[in-house]
Amino acid sequence: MTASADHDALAALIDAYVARSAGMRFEEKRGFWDADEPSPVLKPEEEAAPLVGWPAIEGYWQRTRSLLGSLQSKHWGLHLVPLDSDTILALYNMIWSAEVDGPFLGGSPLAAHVRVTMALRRRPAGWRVFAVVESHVDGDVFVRQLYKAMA
Amino acid sequence: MANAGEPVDTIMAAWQGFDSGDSANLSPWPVDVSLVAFDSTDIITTMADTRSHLAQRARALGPLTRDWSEIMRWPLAGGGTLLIAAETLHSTDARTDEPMVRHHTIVAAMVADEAGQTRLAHMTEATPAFLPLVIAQYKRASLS
Repeated sequence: MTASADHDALAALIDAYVARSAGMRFEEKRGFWDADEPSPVLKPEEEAAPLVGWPAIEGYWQRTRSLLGSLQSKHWGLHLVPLDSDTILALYNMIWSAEVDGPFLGGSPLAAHVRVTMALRRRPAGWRVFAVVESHVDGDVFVRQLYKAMA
Repeated sequence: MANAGEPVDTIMAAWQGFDSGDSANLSPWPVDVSLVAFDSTDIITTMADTRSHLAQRARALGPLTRDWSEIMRWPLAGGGTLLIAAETLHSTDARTDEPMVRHHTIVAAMVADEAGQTRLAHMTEATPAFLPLVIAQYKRASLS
Protein backbone atom coordinates (compact mmCIF):
# COMPACT_ATOMS: atom_id res chain seq x y z
CA MET A 1 0.00 0.00 0.00
CA THR A 2 1.33 3.46 -0.85
CA ALA A 3 1.93 6.23 1.67
CA SER A 4 -0.94 8.17 0.12
CA ALA A 5 -3.27 5.19 0.42
CA ASP A 6 -2.19 4.71 4.04
CA HIS A 7 -2.88 8.38 4.73
CA ASP A 8 -6.35 8.15 3.20
CA ALA A 9 -7.15 4.96 5.08
CA LEU A 10 -5.96 6.36 8.40
CA ALA A 11 -7.78 9.67 7.88
CA ALA A 12 -11.01 7.76 7.19
CA LEU A 13 -10.47 5.55 10.23
CA ILE A 14 -9.93 8.52 12.54
CA ASP A 15 -12.94 10.34 11.09
CA ALA A 16 -15.07 7.31 11.89
CA TYR A 17 -13.51 6.78 15.32
CA VAL A 18 -13.99 10.38 16.48
CA ALA A 19 -17.53 10.48 15.07
CA ARG A 20 -18.49 7.70 17.47
CA SER A 21 -18.09 10.07 20.41
CA ALA A 22 -21.58 11.27 19.49
CA GLY A 23 -23.95 9.04 21.38
CA MET A 24 -20.97 7.72 23.37
CA ARG A 25 -20.79 4.63 21.16
CA PHE A 26 -17.81 3.21 23.01
CA GLU A 27 -18.53 -0.41 22.15
CA GLU A 28 -18.26 0.60 18.48
CA LYS A 29 -15.00 2.41 19.24
CA ARG A 30 -13.57 -0.81 20.62
CA GLY A 31 -14.01 -2.33 17.16
CA PHE A 32 -11.30 0.03 15.87
CA TRP A 33 -8.76 -1.36 18.35
CA ASP A 34 -6.38 -4.27 17.77
CA ALA A 35 -8.10 -7.31 19.25
CA ASP A 36 -4.72 -9.08 19.46
CA GLU A 37 -3.05 -6.41 21.62
CA PRO A 38 -2.75 -7.84 25.15
CA SER A 39 -2.16 -4.45 26.81
CA PRO A 40 -4.09 -1.66 25.09
CA VAL A 41 -3.46 1.77 26.61
CA LEU A 42 -5.90 4.69 26.86
CA LYS A 43 -4.92 7.96 28.57
CA PRO A 44 -7.93 10.28 28.71
CA GLU A 45 -6.98 13.86 29.49
CA GLU A 46 -8.94 13.91 32.74
CA GLU A 47 -7.28 10.78 34.11
CA ALA A 48 -4.07 11.16 36.10
CA ALA A 49 -2.56 7.93 34.78
CA PRO A 50 -2.99 5.76 31.68
CA LEU A 51 -5.57 2.98 31.70
CA VAL A 52 -3.98 -0.32 30.70
CA GLY A 53 -6.09 -3.30 29.60
CA TRP A 54 -9.74 -3.67 28.60
CA PRO A 55 -11.24 -3.88 32.12
CA ALA A 56 -9.76 -0.45 32.96
CA ILE A 57 -10.71 1.09 29.60
CA GLU A 58 -14.26 -0.25 29.59
CA GLY A 59 -14.71 0.79 33.22
CA TYR A 60 -13.71 4.32 32.24
CA TRP A 61 -16.12 4.32 29.29
CA GLN A 62 -18.90 3.13 31.61
CA ARG A 63 -18.17 5.94 34.10
CA THR A 64 -18.10 8.46 31.27
CA ARG A 65 -21.46 7.31 30.00
CA SER A 66 -22.98 7.67 33.49
CA LEU A 67 -21.44 11.12 34.06
CA LEU A 68 -22.21 12.83 30.76
CA GLY A 69 -25.55 13.80 29.31
CA SER A 70 -24.07 14.14 25.83
CA LEU A 71 -20.71 14.16 24.08
CA GLN A 72 -19.56 15.51 20.72
CA SER A 73 -16.03 15.63 19.30
CA LYS A 74 -14.45 17.12 16.23
CA HIS A 75 -10.88 16.82 15.04
CA TRP A 76 -8.43 18.42 12.61
CA GLY A 77 -4.79 18.66 11.61
CA LEU A 78 -3.88 14.98 11.17
CA HIS A 79 -0.12 14.37 11.08
CA LEU A 80 1.31 10.88 10.60
CA VAL A 81 4.64 9.65 11.97
CA PRO A 82 5.67 6.28 10.45
CA LEU A 83 7.62 4.21 12.97
CA ASP A 84 8.16 1.12 10.83
CA SER A 85 6.39 -0.44 7.84
CA ASP A 86 3.43 -1.60 9.96
CA THR A 87 3.33 0.84 12.88
CA ILE A 88 2.40 4.51 12.82
CA LEU A 89 1.59 7.39 15.14
CA ALA A 90 -1.38 9.57 14.22
CA LEU A 91 -1.27 13.01 15.83
CA TYR A 92 -4.35 15.23 15.68
CA ASN A 93 -6.18 18.00 17.47
CA MET A 94 -9.57 17.34 18.99
CA ILE A 95 -12.20 19.45 20.71
CA TRP A 96 -14.76 17.61 22.80
CA SER A 97 -17.96 19.23 23.97
CA ALA A 98 -20.03 17.61 26.70
CA GLU A 99 -22.98 18.17 28.96
CA VAL A 100 -22.01 17.01 32.42
CA ASP A 101 -24.66 15.72 34.81
CA GLY A 102 -24.60 16.76 38.46
CA PRO A 103 -24.55 20.03 40.43
CA PHE A 104 -20.85 20.91 40.31
CA LEU A 105 -20.37 21.23 36.56
CA GLY A 106 -23.89 20.66 35.29
CA GLY A 107 -26.11 23.20 33.62
CA SER A 108 -24.11 24.26 30.60
CA PRO A 109 -21.89 22.50 28.08
CA LEU A 110 -18.14 22.25 28.63
CA ALA A 111 -15.48 21.90 25.97
CA ALA A 112 -11.73 21.43 25.82
CA HIS A 113 -8.98 21.17 23.24
CA VAL A 114 -6.71 18.15 23.46
CA ARG A 115 -3.94 16.83 21.26
CA VAL A 116 -4.23 13.13 20.57
CA THR A 117 -1.35 10.71 20.07
CA MET A 118 -2.78 7.51 18.61
CA ALA A 119 -0.64 4.41 17.90
CA LEU A 120 -1.83 2.04 15.20
CA ARG A 121 -0.51 -1.11 13.59
CA ARG A 122 -1.33 -2.68 10.25
CA ARG A 123 -3.40 -5.84 10.42
CA PRO A 124 -4.79 -7.98 7.56
CA ALA A 125 -8.15 -6.26 8.00
CA GLY A 126 -6.58 -2.79 8.03
CA TRP A 127 -5.09 -0.38 10.58
CA ARG A 128 -5.96 -1.03 14.21
CA VAL A 129 -5.45 1.16 17.30
CA PHE A 130 -3.40 -0.10 20.26
CA ALA A 131 -2.77 3.08 22.28
CA VAL A 132 -4.37 6.53 22.60
CA VAL A 133 -2.94 9.34 24.74
CA GLU A 134 -4.75 12.68 25.09
CA SER A 135 -2.81 15.75 26.18
CA HIS A 136 -4.20 18.97 27.58
CA VAL A 137 -1.99 22.02 27.79
CA ASP A 138 -0.21 22.59 31.10
CA GLY A 139 -2.24 24.41 33.78
CA ASP A 140 -0.22 27.60 34.10
CA VAL A 141 0.09 27.90 30.31
CA PHE A 142 -3.67 27.40 30.07
CA VAL A 143 -4.35 30.18 32.60
CA ARG A 144 -1.95 32.56 30.80
CA GLN A 145 -3.83 31.85 27.57
CA LEU A 146 -7.11 32.75 29.27
CA TYR A 147 -5.69 36.07 30.44
CA LYS A 148 -4.42 36.83 26.93
CA ALA A 149 -7.76 35.85 25.39
CA MET A 150 -9.52 38.40 27.61
CA ALA A 151 -7.25 41.27 26.53
CA MET B 1 4.76 -8.00 22.22
CA ALA B 2 5.01 -5.59 25.12
CA ASN B 3 7.95 -4.88 27.40
CA ALA B 4 10.69 -5.38 24.83
CA GLY B 5 12.78 -3.05 22.73
CA GLU B 6 15.26 -0.51 23.97
CA PRO B 7 15.58 0.20 27.70
CA VAL B 8 13.74 3.21 29.00
CA ASP B 9 17.02 4.82 30.12
CA THR B 10 18.34 4.73 26.54
CA ILE B 11 15.26 6.52 25.25
CA MET B 12 15.33 9.10 28.02
CA ALA B 13 19.02 9.75 27.36
CA ALA B 14 18.25 10.40 23.69
CA TRP B 15 15.51 12.85 24.62
CA GLN B 16 17.63 14.62 27.20
CA GLY B 17 20.47 14.86 24.71
CA PHE B 18 18.15 16.42 22.18
CA ASP B 19 16.54 18.63 24.78
CA SER B 20 19.92 19.95 25.91
CA GLY B 21 21.08 20.62 22.36
CA ASP B 22 23.67 17.86 22.22
CA SER B 23 24.45 17.81 18.51
CA ALA B 24 25.80 14.25 18.69
CA ASN B 25 22.22 13.10 19.08
CA LEU B 26 20.92 15.15 16.21
CA SER B 27 22.73 14.31 13.01
CA PRO B 28 22.05 12.59 10.74
CA TRP B 29 18.39 12.50 11.72
CA PRO B 30 16.37 9.96 9.74
CA VAL B 31 12.99 11.60 10.16
CA ASP B 32 11.54 14.90 11.19
CA VAL B 33 11.01 15.02 14.93
CA SER B 34 7.47 15.71 16.06
CA LEU B 35 6.56 17.00 19.51
CA VAL B 36 3.39 17.33 21.54
CA ALA B 37 4.73 19.59 24.25
CA PHE B 38 3.22 20.18 27.69
CA ASP B 39 3.78 23.91 27.29
CA SER B 40 2.28 24.38 23.84
CA THR B 41 -1.18 24.09 22.31
CA ASP B 42 0.21 23.13 18.91
CA ILE B 43 1.33 19.83 17.47
CA ILE B 44 4.90 20.52 16.40
CA THR B 45 5.78 18.53 13.29
CA THR B 46 9.23 19.59 12.12
CA MET B 47 12.73 19.39 13.51
CA ALA B 48 13.16 23.16 13.16
CA ASP B 49 9.99 23.96 15.08
CA THR B 50 10.82 21.36 17.74
CA ARG B 51 14.24 22.92 18.27
CA SER B 52 12.71 26.39 18.35
CA HIS B 53 10.16 25.34 20.95
CA LEU B 54 12.76 23.70 23.17
CA ALA B 55 14.98 26.77 22.92
CA GLN B 56 12.04 28.91 24.02
CA ARG B 57 11.42 26.52 26.92
CA ALA B 58 15.08 26.72 27.92
CA ARG B 59 14.68 30.48 28.34
CA ALA B 60 11.55 30.07 30.47
CA LEU B 61 12.75 27.26 32.73
CA GLY B 62 15.86 26.34 34.62
CA PRO B 63 17.65 23.01 34.21
CA LEU B 64 15.31 20.05 33.76
CA THR B 65 15.49 16.82 35.74
CA ARG B 66 13.39 13.89 34.56
CA ASP B 67 12.32 10.70 36.23
CA TRP B 68 10.61 8.10 34.03
CA SER B 69 8.71 5.01 35.07
CA GLU B 70 7.91 2.63 32.24
CA ILE B 71 4.26 1.78 31.64
CA MET B 72 4.45 -0.06 28.31
CA ARG B 73 7.06 -0.66 25.64
CA TRP B 74 6.61 -2.12 22.16
CA PRO B 75 9.54 -3.10 19.91
CA LEU B 76 9.51 -1.80 16.34
CA ALA B 77 10.95 -3.38 13.23
CA GLY B 78 14.63 -2.60 12.73
CA GLY B 79 15.33 -2.07 16.42
CA GLY B 80 13.18 0.92 17.26
CA THR B 81 10.90 1.23 20.26
CA LEU B 82 7.59 2.82 21.15
CA LEU B 83 7.44 3.70 24.84
CA ILE B 84 4.72 4.94 27.18
CA ALA B 85 6.04 6.10 30.54
CA ALA B 86 5.09 8.23 33.52
CA GLU B 87 7.32 11.28 33.85
CA THR B 88 8.01 13.55 36.80
CA LEU B 89 9.69 16.70 35.57
CA HIS B 90 11.50 19.00 37.99
CA SER B 91 12.67 22.47 37.06
CA THR B 92 12.45 26.09 38.13
CA ASP B 93 10.78 29.19 36.78
CA ALA B 94 13.67 31.09 35.19
CA ARG B 95 12.21 34.45 36.21
CA THR B 96 11.52 33.72 39.86
CA ASP B 97 13.66 30.63 40.54
CA GLU B 98 10.60 29.01 42.12
CA PRO B 99 10.61 25.22 41.88
CA MET B 100 8.31 23.52 39.39
CA VAL B 101 7.11 19.93 39.29
CA ARG B 102 5.02 18.47 36.46
CA HIS B 103 3.61 15.00 35.95
CA HIS B 104 3.27 13.80 32.37
CA THR B 105 2.51 10.68 30.40
CA ILE B 106 5.28 10.24 27.87
CA VAL B 107 4.87 8.72 24.42
CA ALA B 108 8.36 8.39 22.95
CA ALA B 109 9.29 6.74 19.68
CA MET B 110 12.77 5.71 18.60
CA VAL B 111 13.08 4.60 14.98
CA ALA B 112 15.94 2.85 13.23
CA ASP B 113 17.79 4.50 10.37
CA GLU B 114 19.26 2.61 7.39
CA ALA B 115 22.40 1.82 9.38
CA GLY B 116 20.32 0.35 12.18
CA GLN B 117 21.01 3.18 14.59
CA THR B 118 17.96 4.30 16.50
CA ARG B 119 17.08 7.93 16.94
CA LEU B 120 14.26 9.84 18.53
CA ALA B 121 11.36 10.42 16.14
CA HIS B 122 8.54 11.60 18.38
CA MET B 123 7.83 12.85 21.87
CA THR B 124 4.48 13.49 23.56
CA GLU B 125 4.48 15.10 27.00
CA ALA B 126 0.83 14.52 27.83
CA THR B 127 -0.51 16.72 30.59
CA PRO B 128 -3.64 15.96 32.61
CA ALA B 129 -6.57 18.32 32.19
CA PHE B 130 -6.53 21.36 34.43
CA LEU B 131 -10.13 21.31 35.69
CA PRO B 132 -10.13 17.89 37.44
CA LEU B 133 -6.90 18.86 39.23
CA VAL B 134 -8.49 22.10 40.44
CA ILE B 135 -11.61 20.30 41.59
CA ALA B 136 -9.57 17.64 43.43
CA GLN B 137 -7.47 20.33 45.12
CA TYR B 138 -10.60 22.26 46.06
CA LYS B 139 -12.18 19.17 47.59
CA ARG B 140 -9.02 18.38 49.57
CA ALA B 141 -8.88 21.97 50.82
CA SER B 142 -12.53 21.78 51.85
CA LEU B 143 -11.82 18.71 53.94
CA SER B 144 -8.73 20.09 55.68
